[in-house]
Amino acid sequence: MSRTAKTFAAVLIVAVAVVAGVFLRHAVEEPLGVSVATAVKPFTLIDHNGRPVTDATFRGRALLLFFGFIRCPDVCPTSMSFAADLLNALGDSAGTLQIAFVTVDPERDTPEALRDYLANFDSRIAGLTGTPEQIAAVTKAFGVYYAKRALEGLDDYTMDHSTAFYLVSTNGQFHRAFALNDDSDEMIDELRAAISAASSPQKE
Amino acid sequence: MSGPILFSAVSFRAIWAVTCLMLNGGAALAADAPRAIVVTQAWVRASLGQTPTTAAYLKIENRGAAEDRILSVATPAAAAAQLHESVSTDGIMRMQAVKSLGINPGQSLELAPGGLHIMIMGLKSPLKAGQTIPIKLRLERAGEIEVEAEVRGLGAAK
Repeated sequence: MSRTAKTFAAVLIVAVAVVAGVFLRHAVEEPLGVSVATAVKPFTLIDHNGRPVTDATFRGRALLLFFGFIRCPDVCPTSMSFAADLLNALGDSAGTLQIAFVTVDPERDTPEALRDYLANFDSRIAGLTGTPEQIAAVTKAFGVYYAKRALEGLDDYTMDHSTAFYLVSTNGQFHRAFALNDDSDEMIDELRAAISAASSPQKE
Repeated sequence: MSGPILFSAVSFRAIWAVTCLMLNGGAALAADAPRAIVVTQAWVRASLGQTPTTAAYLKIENRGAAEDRILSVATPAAAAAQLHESVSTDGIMRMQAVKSLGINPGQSLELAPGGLHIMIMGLKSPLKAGQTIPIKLRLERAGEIEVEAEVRGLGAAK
């Protein structure tokens, strides 16, 4: 072997190792959401049209859930504006995604109120409510925290609550949660990738 | 303003208002004097039906040489208003009342969706896009500053 050939071989080996390393890392990291996927526990709720829905209703589409309440003054409208931006950014592929706002204040958030509320953002976003027991069950299924907190000096309460978006894949498996961060463009990109992963057929 | 009687009544009111403002620190006056605290981009989110809560946002800039603090906020449009911050701890969002908010000289602070905001509770009537409501800030040094906040749609993100 000439010196040039030796150098070429060495460079090639390093290059192959680097590429393999990158592939391996991706192979380990990327499907993490899928490999840890667990079936979402069954839930039954009422949608914004007053119709009963279950976890099975949304199969075949990716489902992105947000848990909030109508009287929430800041984070919920901000998150729903973001959800509307997301649907617009997805364009035609938005049909593969169902975004739903699940209330953690079922005593006040009726189907009609949810419908009126969500129409301000994007009427493609479903509103889900139910009995306090049904809300307790669905929040438990996603590990969502919520609690009433009295508003000082007013005969009123607010809710503390988890504010992640929870993505369920087309086959009803929990895919991953997203935190609402400051850079919405970055999150739209990240969600788009996750939605296409969630929307693609998975090994059964 | 035509009649002299009416005119003098108006003048008296104006003088009284100016006196009150000066006693309050004179910050809202300052047509010619440079103001230390400048509040801009004030807006408030429209409310849904009879929902009594909403949030307002604004930008506050300290052009002065000393730190100033927002001590309280108020609006005649609602029973109560408070400085709040949406704080996420372990993925759980809680709204915390912010007792006072300091602004260093040369600093500008933005109250924006998803973080610091003015929580408005007990709205007297629903807020519709296109309206404006006054928001009063009380500052330690600058005194009371009143701004008109534009009501933007419920879906507005900024």
